[in-house]
Amino acid sequence: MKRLVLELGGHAPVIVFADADLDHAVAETLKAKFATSGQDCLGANRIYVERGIYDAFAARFTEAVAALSVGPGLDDPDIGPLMNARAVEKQAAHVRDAVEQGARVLCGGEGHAAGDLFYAPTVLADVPDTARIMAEETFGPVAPLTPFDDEAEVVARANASEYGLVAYVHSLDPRRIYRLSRALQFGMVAVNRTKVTGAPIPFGGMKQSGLGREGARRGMEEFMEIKYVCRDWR
Amino acid sequence: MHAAAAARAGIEDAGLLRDRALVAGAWIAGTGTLAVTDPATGEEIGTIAALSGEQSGEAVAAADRAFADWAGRLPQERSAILRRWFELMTEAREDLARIMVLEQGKPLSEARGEIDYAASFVEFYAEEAKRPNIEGVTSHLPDAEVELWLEPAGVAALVTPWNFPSAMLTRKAAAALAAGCPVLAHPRPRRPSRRSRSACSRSARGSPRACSTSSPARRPRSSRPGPPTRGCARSRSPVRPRSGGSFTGSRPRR
Repeated sequence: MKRLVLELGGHAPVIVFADADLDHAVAETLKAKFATSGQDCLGANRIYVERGIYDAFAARFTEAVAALSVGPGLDDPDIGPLMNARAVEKQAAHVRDAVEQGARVLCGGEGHAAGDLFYAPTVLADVPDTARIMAEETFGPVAPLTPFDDEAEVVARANASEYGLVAYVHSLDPRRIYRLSRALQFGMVAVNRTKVTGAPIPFGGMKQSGLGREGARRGMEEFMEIKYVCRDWR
Repeated sequence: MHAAAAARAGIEDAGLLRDRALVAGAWIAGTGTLAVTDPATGEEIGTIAALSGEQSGEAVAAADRAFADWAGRLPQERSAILRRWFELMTEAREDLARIMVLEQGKPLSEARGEIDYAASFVEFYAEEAKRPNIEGVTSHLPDAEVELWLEPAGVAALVTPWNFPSAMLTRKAAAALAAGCPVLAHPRPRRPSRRSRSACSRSARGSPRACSTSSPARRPRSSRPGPPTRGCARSRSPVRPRSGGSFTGSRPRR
């Protein structure tokens, strides 16, 4: 038998409540989506925004995304190239599928003049839950927005994924934060922030996101076996 | 890596650039090569060794041979070697980041951040290596003493992805080495994470069997990701008596 640790990807929801600090939520969601040019298993892949602030969030977020610089990594832009041609095609396919299902392109939505492996940072609004991008890892700079009306609804939609790696929540209501932290079926829950990883914490996911944890003492124990020794001195 | 590409990227220490695979403390040529391209330009910036199944089998056997020695060392000794690896990575931070930009494409600031993140795992596990510890249990049996020991599980096969080529390797390798397991590392072939391998090899100089093997780089036979033992540990050699695996990547779509 082999001992295994598996980290198999994610499909992170970002949930922004109307009681959140809007500017902070926009800035953090930008990081959650566009770090590593979107090629991150922790990358935001579904952005749920409470209806009362949906338009304001979409406007500020789109303004920030449209301002992202794109270019070769050595020029130190915000967004670099994608991994290969298939990755670029996947962005285009996810955008096309979402638009066919009624989504609106708020910015981007096409390749980028910087080169063949570049895709323009993209925001989609009103993306239905049936769109491919709401279920499959996009692994690139495309951000789908969708409104929600109440807490139970958004928790159910966030959990309706085969993945369970990380979820991001933005709210300033401590009781709501506690309820969400319990209800979300994810190995990691980030509240009002994006960066949560580091050597001292156990990184890993639930459901199809994997098995075991990496980092922390547990990450070392994954490579160790328990031997039980019971002895008498006779 | 081709000298022109390295110069263009401002890489100063050419000693960090490797096109061979580290097996049992030696850098060996493969039976073929795989091209590495800069995703920003499509330009070929170098090649890496593609090992044969037989060479991969040798790597597995070498890791197996290293197991008793590595597992038997004092925790403090493993800790010191990991600590040195951390220091070498930190010293080479800028060059390692620039190599990553060329190979992987990510923006330079993010590459620097990843080297720091990657090194932090080596630092953390250098410290944690000192505390495997034995747990005493209050006995439920008359006159008996009860203890739980933690022992290294065996050779660790590590399969790492291209998006965080340095940190995903150190997160696994440093933990496994701290636990007392030799490692077989199989980075995504076209983004070979040379920076970590180089740093690893340097740290291993004093004890060539410690980081005993790394990176047989044959592309998996199928383009679909396989189980963690694909590649290096999945060789024709017999089933390892004690081993484990750690995989980061995506699952095949249905």
